[in-house]
Parts: sequence; C-alpha cells; structure tokens
Amino acid sequence: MGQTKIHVGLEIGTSKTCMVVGEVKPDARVTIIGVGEVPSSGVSRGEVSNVAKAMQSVYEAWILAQDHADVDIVTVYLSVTGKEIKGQTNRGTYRLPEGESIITREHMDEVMDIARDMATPNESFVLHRVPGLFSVDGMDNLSNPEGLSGKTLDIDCHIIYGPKSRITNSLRCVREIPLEVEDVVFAPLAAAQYALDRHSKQAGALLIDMGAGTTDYALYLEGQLIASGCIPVGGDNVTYDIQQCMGIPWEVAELAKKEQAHAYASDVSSKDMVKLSRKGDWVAERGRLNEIVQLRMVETFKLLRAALPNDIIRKKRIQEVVMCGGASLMRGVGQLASHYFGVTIKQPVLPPNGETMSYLDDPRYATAIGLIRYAQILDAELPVKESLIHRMNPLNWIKKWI
Amino acid sequence: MLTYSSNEAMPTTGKTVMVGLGGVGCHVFQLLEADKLPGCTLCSVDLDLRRLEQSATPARIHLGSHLTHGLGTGGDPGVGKQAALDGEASFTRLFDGCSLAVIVAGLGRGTGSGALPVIARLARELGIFLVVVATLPFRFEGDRSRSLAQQALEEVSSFADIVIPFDNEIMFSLMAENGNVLEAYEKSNVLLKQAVEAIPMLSRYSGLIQVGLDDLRAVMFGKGRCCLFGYGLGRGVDKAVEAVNEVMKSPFLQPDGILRQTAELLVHISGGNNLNISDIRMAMDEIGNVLEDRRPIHFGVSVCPELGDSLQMLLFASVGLRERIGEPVLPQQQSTEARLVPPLAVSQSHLGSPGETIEPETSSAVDPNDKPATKTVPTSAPAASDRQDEVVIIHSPIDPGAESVLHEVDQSQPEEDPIPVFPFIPRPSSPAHTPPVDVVVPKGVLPLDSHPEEDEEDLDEEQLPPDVAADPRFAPDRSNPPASQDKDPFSPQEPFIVDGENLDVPPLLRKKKSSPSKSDRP
Repeated sequence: MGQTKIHVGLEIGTSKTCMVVGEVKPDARVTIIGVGEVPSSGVSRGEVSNVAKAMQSVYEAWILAQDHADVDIVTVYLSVTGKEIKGQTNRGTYRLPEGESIITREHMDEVMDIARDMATPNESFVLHRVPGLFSVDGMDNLSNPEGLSGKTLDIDCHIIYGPKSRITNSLRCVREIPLEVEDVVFAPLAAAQYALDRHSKQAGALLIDMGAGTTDYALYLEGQLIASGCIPVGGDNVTYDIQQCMGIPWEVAELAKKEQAHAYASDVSSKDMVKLSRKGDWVAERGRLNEIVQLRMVETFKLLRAALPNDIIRKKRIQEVVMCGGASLMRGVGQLASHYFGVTIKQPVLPPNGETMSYLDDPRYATAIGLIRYAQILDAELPVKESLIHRMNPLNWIKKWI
Repeated sequence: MLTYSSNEAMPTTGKTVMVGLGGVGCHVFQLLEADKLPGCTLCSVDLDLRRLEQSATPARIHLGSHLTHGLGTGGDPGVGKQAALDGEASFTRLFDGCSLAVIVAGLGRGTGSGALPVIARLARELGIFLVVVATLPFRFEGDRSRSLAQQALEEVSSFADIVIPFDNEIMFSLMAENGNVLEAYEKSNVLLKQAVEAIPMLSRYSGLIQVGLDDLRAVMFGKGRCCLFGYGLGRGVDKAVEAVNEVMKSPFLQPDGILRQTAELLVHISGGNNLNISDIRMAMDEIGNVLEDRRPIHFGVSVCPELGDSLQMLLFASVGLRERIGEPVLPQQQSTEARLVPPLAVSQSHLGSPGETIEPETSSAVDPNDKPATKTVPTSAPAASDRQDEVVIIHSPIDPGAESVLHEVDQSQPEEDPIPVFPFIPRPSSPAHTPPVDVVVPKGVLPLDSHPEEDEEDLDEEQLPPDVAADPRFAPDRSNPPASQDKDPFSPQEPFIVDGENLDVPPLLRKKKSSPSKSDRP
C-alpha cells in the first residue's frame, strides 16, 4: 500500500454529530484534514430516536466536512452505541480427536467456529466477533499454535451484538443521505483503537468513553478484548441532575458542570457560594454542586464496575484506565475514577488559557478518530477491499487486534 | 377456575391442611392450638430454620436448606420462590388426600411473596380448594414491600379460590395513635388467627343456617379486594350487643362508614345450647343499625355446646383496595375512641384467668420473630350441630372465660345503610397522595399507587418529594431570574431503570427520598 488513503469516520452522538476526515499516509501516520460537526438532534442516549432529525444532522455534518477537507465523501465508517448493544465473551473448547496430538489449521478453524457460535437473541445483529488468543492445554496467549502438541485447544471470542432494529436506525440515517457505510463499529472499540496502544492492551487497560448520553467501555487484558458495553448514563445526566436539584435552567447547569463543578472535591459541605453563570445572576453553594456531580459519577462508576468481570476487578489486573469523551473533561473525574478503580487514570485535560486543542488531542473526537484508525488497521491487512463477512474472518483479525 | 357450589364437593370430605408460611404464618400458627382444630393438619413452612424450630405445629417443612442453609430469604422473593420450587415434593406429600388448604402468609418480603404463589399454584394443580389469608405490609415498610405484596397477591388470586387479604396499614392508622408497634403487630396476628380458625369451621360444619366457603367466596369476590374482618364474643345478658360491639371494634371496621362500602357481608353467629332467637335478632339489629340499607348478608347460625352461655360472631366483608370516597378521612378520633377500646386492652380486661396473656413479640419487620405464645384462649366454636363430639374450637385472644356477648341478629332484618368506607386511611399529612402542584417530584419517588414506571411518558412533569421541597436548600432560588423551559434530555426514551430504581432521577434526590444518609464520598 503505497498511497495516501482517505477515511471518514462518522459518529452520531447524543450531543454532537461529527464526521472526521483523516488521511492515512504510507507510513501509517494519520492526519485529520477535516471535521464537520453539528449539534445532534433526534439522538437520545446514544441511539437514534428520530430518524428525520438525525439525518438532518448527518447531512449538515457531511456538508461541513466536505467543505473543510475539500474532498468528496462517499463512504463512511459509522459508530454505534446504546445500552442494548452487549459484548459477551464466549469460550470455545476443542478436544483433539483420538490419535491426533499435533494442532493443525483445521483444529484452529474448528475451535474458532465453536467460539464464534454463540446464540444471540432473535433479531439481533452481530457487530463484531473479536477472537482472543489461543490456549493449548492451559498454555495461554498463543497467537499461532499450529504445530504445537496438545490435547485441548481453547480460544475466547468476544462477541458484540445488538438489536437489529436500533442499528438499522442509525444505518438508515446515513444511507438515505445517500452515503455508503463501509462498516459499522461499536463505539468503544473504535475509541480503543485510538486511545489504547498495544502495550496498554497487553498490560490490561480499561477505556471509558464518557459522552453526553452514554458511557461506553472496553476492557483489554493480555491483548484480548475481554469486555465491552454501554451504560446509558452520561454528561447529560449530570447536567440534568444539577438542573433538577437546583432548579436552574439547562444552559446554566451545563456551564456550571463544565466550569465550576469538581467531582472529587472533599468540600461537599462547604457553604461557599459560586457563580454559576458568567453574569453572576445564578449562584449556588459549591459544596452542593460538587455533591450532586459526585453522587452521579460515583453511581456511574459503580454501574461500570458491576458490568466488568468480577474476577478481573478483584485481582486488580487492570493496570490503566483511559478516559475519553466529552464528559471526561469534567474536573475531578479523573481523580474520582482513580480512587474508585484504584489505578492511575489517564484523563484528558483541556489546555490552559483557552487554547484550542488539536483534534487529535481532543477527547471528544476520540471515537470518530478511532474509526479512522480502525479503518486503517483493516486496510493494512487487507489491501483488497473485502466484503464485510470476509473481513470478519477471525484469522485476519487475530493479527489486527493485537 | 373451578366453581364450587355448596352442594357439591365442598371440602368436607378429605382432610384440611393449614399452612403457615414465613414469619407471619408461623407466628399466627403458634397462636392457634392444634387440638382445637380437629381434622386439620397444621404445618409451618419457612426458610429460616431457627424460626421454624420454634414452631409447635405437628408438621414442619424447611425450605431452601441448600439455598440459604437455614437462613431466611433476606427479603428476596426470588429466593423464596426458588426454595418453594425446590421443595415442591414436600408440598405434594403434604397436600396428599387434602381437599381444603388454607395458607397464611405475610406478603412484602421474601418467603411470603416468593413462595406463596408457587404453593398456591401447586395446590391448584392438585385440585384442592384453596383459601389464602395474606397480610399486606405497613406503608412504612416501604414502597418496594407494598409493590411486592401487591404483585404476589395478584399472582395468588389467579390460583386461589378465596383470597383474604389483610392490610396492616388499615390497622396501623388507628393503632398509631394509641398503640405501640408491638401491639399493632400483635393485633394483626391475632386477627389473622381468628380469621384462619374461622375458615375450616365455615367449611366443615353444617349448622342450623348454613354459611360456607361459597358464601365467603362471594363476599370476597373481585380483584384487589381487601378483607374486613371482625370477631366478637359476648357473654352474659347482653351477649348479643357485646358481641356486635366487639366485632365493630375490629380495626378493620373502624373507619367511619367502611362497612357501607362493602358489597356483601358474611355474618356468622354461634352460641351454646341456649342460643335463642332474640339474641340473634339483637345482634342483627345492631349490625343493621350500622349498615342502613338492604344488602346481601350471608348469614349463618350454628350451635356449639362448648360455647356455653356465650355468643360468638364473625363478620367477613371486603372492600376494594383502591376505592376511596370523597376526602380521605382519619375517623375523628374522639368519636371512635369511645368505640375503639383498643382490642388488646379489652382482651386484657377480659383476660380474667391468670396466665393467659399473650406476650408481645419483638417485632421488627413484617415478620416479627416468633416466640412461643402462651396457651391461647380457647373459645368454642360451633361445630357441626349433629356432630357434637367433633368440636372445632376457635381461639381468640380474648379471655377464654370472658362472657362477651354476641349479638343475635334477626335474619329477617337485612336493612342496612351503606356506610362510606375508606379501605385506606391515608395520613392527613401524607403528601404522597396530594402532591403540591408547584413543586417538583422526580419520577421514581411517586407513591406506590401511581405506578411511576407506567407514567413515564411525559417526563416534563417532575416534582420534588415533599420533604425535599421543604428543605430550604432545595428550594429554587426565588431571587434568581425565572428558569427557562427545563430541557429534558431523556425523552422520548424509556427511563433507565436498574433494580427497580429509576436512574434518571438525580441520585441526590433518590437518596433524600429513601433515607437521609451520607453520600458515598471518597
């Protein structure tokens, strides 16, 4: 592959719809050449609830992105999320037949099929089947056990599926523009491609993508995707809490959340008054504001932790937690998460003095940029455009996802 | 559901099995005395081994031995249900050859709400005539208890032939003023015991004027009914009047006009050999005074020599759980206080014979811990008049020898007026029923009755719980400019509910609603 390729990632989020155009150079560097971003409408908790409105947002983002990047955009990689999308790890075990003790490609295919074959609910669509590494008679983390001697071959496959109807809603918004959808990707997976590097995935890393409507997560351990999912609680919930508990307008609550609230402050009983709006016509106790935010964030982390495999949490095998997404910019969230999960947190911070961030550093675009990275990875292994099904061939994925 | 008429296989053949389920059931059964209910097999069923061991019934079934290892359900009906499913074989054995089953349970926590529907279904499948006596928890036990209880009750209603729900809340609203909580629970259990004893009596005897389980079913008919039960024992010259007064003093009949709201009544009078018509007429006159119009009364009379000179009266009626007429009224305490001599106090005074006190239990939740009650007072109940030797004795906490008088009711006088009746006596200050219009209550903290999950369609109407509204810290700052239209980010989607909790509601408000505990801070 010796040419520059253009990939476009589209994220239809709860607060914003953004289309990011990236250029992948021959040396695998990615440059963002254009972004079209509009506030979302018709999207709630990460899912499209009003197709007409969402489509309008996508259309506007498309026009903006084309203008900004000065390219024609015809196909996109689309990210989806929602609480109905679930990730489940299925283990496939294959016992070699009598008389055979050397593992061959057929055995590997066989165990792969067993692992991939998991019953999913009716009317559900499997987005990803992400295989892990092989294990032979207890010896783990083998990428290619062909030729090894053994009796039992295992592999874990993490299967991400969701209701066909909801995923189709998102697809419709894009296809009717008309735009072609190259691939549909579960949002935290996309973000993980960008935010986590190979080393983190090997050591054990949890990605938390906290958006306005949802908190998505993806957990990697020893290079394998162990858990993923979506919790329908996000930054909007925090704003809503502030609005309800204090009886202030939405805009003021939003501003308070972004500028004044601190999720880890220990001063929740403080009676200091803090200006909630720039003009100073709304005031509230700082302690109360912090308490509201803190309660919501702690609850969200609790939900998140409950969704992760218990033994991994208990044994503290997560070395690193990386946060991205707009809501992760709230002050104190990183400290709170660090306290809660007991590990160091990589929390993005806004640059001081109101400088603008580059898109690549901005956590709000992690998912969209992750889509480009995802596309790049796919490309790297498949010079020829394959069908979706072929690309799902796990043997191709094994190399990609490590 | 099979229909029974009193001519056909009324469960007089076959044996009667009475099952006391869970804490409440076992406790009520301790108040019963086995030998006073001949022909009935009493059985205590529980998950809590310790509680079960204290029960004196001849038969006992321990559920969930491998599930909970002798502990209770911990308030989880799922555990109760699983334990009952696992123990189905024991129940099949128990119900073998049985034609009438009476199950007593307290709903709202684990064993009752969980296991009762399973056992009820099993009894139905075995073709047994099933009577369920269940208590609904007090309101202070929480919305979750109430809703679990309602759910279990509805499930059971489809299996049981007769469901007699007792709502503790009705009693509590009256006991709160003058009784302590021990007495409240005790009274509840005692009434249950009386009702439970009455049932096999109704089923088996053939009295002078017969009233049976079919009448009971007619009275209790209808979904979501709540039982009103009164028991009275009168002695001496004025036994009829005395007995009626006793009946009317039952906490369930206290609310002004509650009897008027009932559709039908079942009244049963029994007396000794010297029971005469004038006694009956007097008793029914009294009842007639209370209910002032013509309405169907299922009336039964029987003679039971063991009663001697006393007259016993039972009254069953039912009202809709959610009916309410006009303003909810806490009956004027002054007017009812005269009538409302606390039943326990009455029984104390009547308890002439020494050593007949019933010890109050250390009650903590719906299922007070069982303590073996001292021997309860035996009162004779009318057995089959032609089966003098087979006496079904019904116990009452009232003094065994007390000469309370049962009023005799003239059967020819069924005039009674409908007395407006409030099945629930909401507290006057209960804000849950009349939320202030201009404050904001988040969804999920609305009272049980309003089914918050179903009302989630318009998320724009939000109101603070009243205690939060009263908190000055939460009052919207009036000095600030008026708020713009509140944006609701979650419509039109359904709310995010986890474990019955609506997580769209701010955690701070949920915490305020449930308990003012410290927030979970690092």
